[in-house]
Amino acid sequence: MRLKDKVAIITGGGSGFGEVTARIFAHEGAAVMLADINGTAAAAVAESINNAGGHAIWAKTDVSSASSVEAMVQATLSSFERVDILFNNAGIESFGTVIESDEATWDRTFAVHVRGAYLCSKYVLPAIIESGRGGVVINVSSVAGLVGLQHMSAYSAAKGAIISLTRAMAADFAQYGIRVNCIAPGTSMTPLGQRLIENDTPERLAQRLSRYPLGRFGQPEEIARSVLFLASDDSSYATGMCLVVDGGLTAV
Amino acid sequence: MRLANKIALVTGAGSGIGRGIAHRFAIEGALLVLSDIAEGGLRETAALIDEALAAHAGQAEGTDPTTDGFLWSPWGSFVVGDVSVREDAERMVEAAITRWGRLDIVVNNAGITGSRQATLAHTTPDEEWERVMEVNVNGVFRVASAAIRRMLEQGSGTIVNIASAAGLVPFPARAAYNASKGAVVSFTRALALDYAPNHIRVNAICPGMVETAMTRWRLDIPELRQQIIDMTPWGRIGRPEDIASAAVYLASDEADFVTGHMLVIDGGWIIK
Repeated sequence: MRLKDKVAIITGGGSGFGEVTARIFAHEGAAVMLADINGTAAAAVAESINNAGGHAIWAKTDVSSASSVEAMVQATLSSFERVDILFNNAGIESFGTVIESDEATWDRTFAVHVRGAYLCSKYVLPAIIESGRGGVVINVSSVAGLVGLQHMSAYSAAKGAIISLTRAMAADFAQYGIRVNCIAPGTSMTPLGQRLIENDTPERLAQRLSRYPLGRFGQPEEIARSVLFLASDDSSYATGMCLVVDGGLTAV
Repeated sequence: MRLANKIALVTGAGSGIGRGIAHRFAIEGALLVLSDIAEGGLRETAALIDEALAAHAGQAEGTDPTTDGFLWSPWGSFVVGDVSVREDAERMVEAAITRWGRLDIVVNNAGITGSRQATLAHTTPDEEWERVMEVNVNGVFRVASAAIRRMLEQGSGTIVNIASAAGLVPFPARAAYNASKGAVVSFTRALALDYAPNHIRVNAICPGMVETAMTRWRLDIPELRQQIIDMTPWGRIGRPEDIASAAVYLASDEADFVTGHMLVIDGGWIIK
């Protein structure tokens, strides 16, 4: 078991990458906190993990709210007495060029992706530092943070910010034995990815798919396996980097 | 076991990072072809793996130094050869086909830093520059091209090139090495693009400073060692195990959707 006795907080743990990662983490021996704005979804995933013999708790959490995040972290420490891994995964989709994007959409996109990663880190890291055991943070960027994709301006800008935040946090917290990395997934068959695909015109979808050298979109399990690599000791000397899981999209 | 029954060729397996990768791959269940320019190093690697497998799996039968030319092992075959020589590169690939019938994974690890003369461009002799390119760039091309011919027939395969963080951000006073690793980075992306339709994934690992026989002459100078540690946010020099676990990830089915990626394992070196 690659995460034996570890405790992981997974934001957006009620669906998509978060859900699949939670199941894999639990299978690898970690106790997991599923933080999700959809409490019902998080509770269902937690129940299913517990029924399978794992250890999971959940908290209805708005990652853009400091008080909500603080309560979630406290609940994690009350139940599990430690935190080793923070997976800043909560995210929302948003579409449109800068002309099309309204200010509320722009602000909400940054609130969830960037302010969310900031707030969760702000409230989790002191507990890791205090433990003296070190830990791991995994942020979620996107291929949209690396190359220019059409009709995704707010999302792309927020995901670009995550890459910079990852490097800055890696530089700040290496001294405490905390590794900070991010993943950059391509389009994947999660609920969010499905909505993204459904939002495309057939022409745009065909064009989107044609950009993937491997000729397909990703599966949530493939993303979750990369998160497991970053969360485990297998990536013991990796910090400040971005693991791109995109079927070759951004390499070519 | 994450590489159970996968057939893997690891070049430069007689020391350093290559030895670490061979060792970890064996523990993960891979069947190996190990190559190196020097026989002595391969013997040492074989002994290390015998010991590890005996401890992990209770496997009694180890490497026999007297059969099959010079070495035979239940878990691997061995090729003494130079990756930059076409016939040798072909022999490495053929060794896998002859012994195991296929080749799933190639780790192009063999590489050199160049002599202490090969530092600044204006003092690097042409023959030093050429030697670094010959091993680090042409060697990767020769082994990869030989392996890809087989992988195309099989309809699958994966290649992990050991590039360097120096291929992304230069190490000071290593002009030839930096250029050679930059070439490996570009070549990796080119292979990923060209062979993705054939289900051949190609990625590279970009290690930072890793303590091996190849780097020890610098790390043994205390001021230089401290300077390197100071430039590494994680605060220590890398170890072959750090790179080996990354190679397991890229070579395994866990990285099924990863191709053309430069996996940076450098303790944060390049973010500074």
